[in-house]
Amino acid sequence: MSKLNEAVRALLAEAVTRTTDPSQAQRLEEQQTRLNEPLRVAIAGKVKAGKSTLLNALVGEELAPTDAGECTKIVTWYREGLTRKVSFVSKDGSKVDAPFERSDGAIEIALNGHTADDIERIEVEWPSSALREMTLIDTPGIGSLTSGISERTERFLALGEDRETPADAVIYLLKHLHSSDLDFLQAFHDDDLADASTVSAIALIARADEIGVGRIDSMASADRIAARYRQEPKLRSLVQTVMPVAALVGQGGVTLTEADFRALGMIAAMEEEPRTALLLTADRFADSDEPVEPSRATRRALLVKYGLFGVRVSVALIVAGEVTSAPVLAQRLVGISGLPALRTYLQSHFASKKDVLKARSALLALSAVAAEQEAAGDPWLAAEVERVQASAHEFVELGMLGALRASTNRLKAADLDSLERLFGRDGVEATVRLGLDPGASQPEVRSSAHAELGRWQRRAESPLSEPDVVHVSRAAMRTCEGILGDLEGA
Amino acid sequence: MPDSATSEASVGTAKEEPLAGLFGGVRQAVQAYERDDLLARVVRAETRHADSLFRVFLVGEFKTGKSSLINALLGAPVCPVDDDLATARPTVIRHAVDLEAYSVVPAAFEQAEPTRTAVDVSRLRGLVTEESETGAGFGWVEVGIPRALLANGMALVDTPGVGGIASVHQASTVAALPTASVVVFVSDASSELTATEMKFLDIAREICPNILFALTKIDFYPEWRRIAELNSGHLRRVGLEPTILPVSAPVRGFALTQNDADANVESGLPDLSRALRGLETQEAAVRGRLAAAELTGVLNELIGQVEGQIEILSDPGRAVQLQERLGSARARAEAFRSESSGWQQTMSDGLTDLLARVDHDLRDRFRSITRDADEVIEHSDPQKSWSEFEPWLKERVMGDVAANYAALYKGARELADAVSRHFNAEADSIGALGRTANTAGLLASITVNTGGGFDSAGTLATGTRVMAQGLTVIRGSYSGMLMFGMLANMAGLALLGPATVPLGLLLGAKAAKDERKRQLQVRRSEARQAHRKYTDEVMFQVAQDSRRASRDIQRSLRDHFTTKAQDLQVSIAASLRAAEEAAREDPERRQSRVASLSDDLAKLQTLKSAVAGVAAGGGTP
Repeated sequence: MSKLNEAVRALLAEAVTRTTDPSQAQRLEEQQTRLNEPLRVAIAGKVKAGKSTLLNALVGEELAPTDAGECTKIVTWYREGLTRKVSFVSKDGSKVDAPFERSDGAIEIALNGHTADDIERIEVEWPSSALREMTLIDTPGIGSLTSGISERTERFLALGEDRETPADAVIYLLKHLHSSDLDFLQAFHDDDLADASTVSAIALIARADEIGVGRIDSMASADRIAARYRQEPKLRSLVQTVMPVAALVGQGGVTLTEADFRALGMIAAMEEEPRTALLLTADRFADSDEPVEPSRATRRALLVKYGLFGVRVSVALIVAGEVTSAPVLAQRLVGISGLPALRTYLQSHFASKKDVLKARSALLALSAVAAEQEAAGDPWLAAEVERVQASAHEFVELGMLGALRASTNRLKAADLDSLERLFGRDGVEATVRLGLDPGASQPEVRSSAHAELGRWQRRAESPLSEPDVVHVSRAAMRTCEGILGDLEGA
Repeated sequence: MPDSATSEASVGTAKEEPLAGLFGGVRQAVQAYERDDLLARVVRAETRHADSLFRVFLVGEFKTGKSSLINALLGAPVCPVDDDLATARPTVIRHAVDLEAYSVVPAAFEQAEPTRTAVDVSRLRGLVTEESETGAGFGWVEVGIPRALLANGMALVDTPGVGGIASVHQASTVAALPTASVVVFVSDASSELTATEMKFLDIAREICPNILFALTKIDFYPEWRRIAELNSGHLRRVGLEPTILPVSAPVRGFALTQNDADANVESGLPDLSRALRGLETQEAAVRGRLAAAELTGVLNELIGQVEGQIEILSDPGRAVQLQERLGSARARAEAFRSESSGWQQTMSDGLTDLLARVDHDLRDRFRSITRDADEVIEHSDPQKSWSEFEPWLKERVMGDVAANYAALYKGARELADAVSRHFNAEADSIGALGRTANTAGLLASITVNTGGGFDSAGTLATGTRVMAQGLTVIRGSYSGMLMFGMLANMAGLALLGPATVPLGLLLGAKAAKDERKRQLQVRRSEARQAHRKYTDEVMFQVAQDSRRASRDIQRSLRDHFTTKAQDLQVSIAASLRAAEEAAREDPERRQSRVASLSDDLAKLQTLKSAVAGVAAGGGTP
């Protein structure tokens, strides 16, 4: 556990004993528990952006109900549990077990006289290795016509007066860049502490197969668009990166069966002309009398499971002879979906910064309580929060990452890249920060850290450097010193 | 490839031939009686009738497939389509013998004509999509293409999406909507209509009542039927006719390359073009009826004059009585024309009111924008929030500007209706003066001229006609097309200076805190100035445009009704003169004059019933 985390824990513990206000005590205790939990990652986005599909693909099981209308109407938490359990948490914080059944894998919950309005959230506990790393939070879509649904999401993510964030990080699903998407990202971004939200948010072009309306080359287009978005200043300042994902295809790949492969193979074996006609529209594919095999029912099932894009790609791969077995097709589909890249990214960027992100969430809650106490005439906690905050270089780094992305800096792109890496953009291990091989030896790390230190020292001391460059360089020096210090300690 | 479309569309042209022939007949008749005033009316009606511009606006969120839809409709890649880049400049596609393209840039001065530059068709992509430098939302692009669908004067307008980052597009689209005959609202089958889309529809319907809904990309989304049903529900809830046309551009492409008639039907495009052509025919029919009514009016006057002459020639004793009544009608018609007449008052008062109301509305909206913007700034650090504040402010401003335009336009239409009603009422009462059994023929012509008697043609209720008249007048005058790009091209918010240095590590905690506070205050005050400067500029621009638009409206209304009032006066004067001449006629020749006049009268009556026949058929025999 990091020093920062220890400091935050100690402060929380002391604050709990000092406060006389039971509601404050409760909030602080919640934060204590939360520090021990996995990272909370919210999946958010506009209506029908594919939130539930992504959640299913990440968990690897079809848990969240999906359909074409607005289906997820209540904030739902998915956490790891020993047994399968669903419960309601109502507005007053009370928690009751809820009966549920599964239809086609998706969990169907009986509201039992509750309405969407009096339930704060649904908690699903599920045994799943994917949920061990992070708790996933499915939110209702924003920009929803049923305005109550939007409001629920905004209430969940908007940082109310006390600015406590229920989520440590956000995966935001974009369709095509839309102004209300920016509003939404901004709400999450809007906090004082260390400018760090950028660091804990990424954007996905979900349903990337839609970009080319299901054309075979859709993912290439999506890649191109994601690359452009990564350069878009407005998005840069709000999210860490932008990636394309076709969650449905990925999920289909994970659960691909031999029977599916055979059915797709039969379609691939058709003459070109009737095959093109069959794959022209979803309607034709599902309802056409020809071919007899695979049957209409089979084709419908394929369409639901893989989407028209998934079917088209699979058939194209088989026709081209690139794929000759189910496992290979499964692998190709998962690869095309962009899910592996997303998983790697979440691992290196969110999971590895878990301690800092959690400490930040806890400090946000602490400063809210501190503000209340300061207003009531007790400045102790405020001063303590300030002290922890100021002494934590982790926050400076987070802040720098945010600032480097947000402002138009006078640094060259190459400098910018190595600075962001140094501040832990890609992970907090010394080798990652220095851009070395993971297996680099200690002396290599040391000499590289010394080189970086020297480089930023020169920048910091150069009379030609702008004040903000000097400032960034000093922070970079401190990071290098930290790496060197850890090496000595080891 | 566009053959099927060709054969379907070319039928429409022939339908208006009978009316075209009648224009000639009536022209000859009025020339024979040397009624130059009536001749002018015939020529005017003919010109108006020939101007059959029928603009179809395709609007909707961006990336819903508007450009693809147009390409599918025309069976030609006219509008650039890209997975990433969206349409940034509007494109007007109209008929031409050969493929041609122009870049149109509005003139800097109000009255000047826009500059049209011929461009190579291959450069269209660069001009239209958001990537290009020249296409940065300024002006529009005009493409001419030989297509039967467009042959009768239909023009398709591809607009930038209304919801994109630069929501200025929404404001400029709304500003241009008054020039639209039909709006095709395009949304795709990926999801049901969103709140933003419904908000836009709410404004658009105020301006253009003819709205069609196209549901695109039905080839890709298996659930499109459910989405269509959900959308119908949303539309029905706000009282819109929920007829949704599902379409697929790829299927149309397939149908055209494979020459597959079934696939063509499946694509839904034939339904869309049929719906568009239906509305075009409807509007042509209304135009035809208006023209027929004008011809009937002209003929009635001529008939009235001839009848009056016949009456006086056969019974000179009535001359004095008739002349007296006509004389007083003339006096009233003169007063009717003057600035102090009632309808003129209605018009100028109404315009003043309207301008004041719209201006107040604008100011009110901007005041609350300023208030909200200040509040946002007060609760955030502009340095951090600026990149989101700017788009928020722009969207908010443009949304309100759009609503303000809608208010102006709606008010203008109501005013046109009001003036029209007032005008008709007064003109009818002048007509009623001296309406006796003996002079009915002559004076009926006056009422026909003003609109009341139009009902006797049995084709169009007065209310509808007033409506159609108001629409035509304003659609003709409104400089909306010029608004395209004007707003988009306006200076943005001035950016703040470079980010200030965070001081936390350099100063002591207390000093740093104070310094941070001070810097924050400075940034906030800069931000407040910046947004005020921006909103001021927009408001100036919009207020100027409102004034220009209302001047246009005023000019058109005045021209329209003054001309009619003048017609009324001239016509009464002519009838009076004819009556006087008839009274002075040599008694010897009276008999033969009556005979030849009666001959003419019969011819005129035949002509009139021919016109009535066309009018009854509504221009669609």
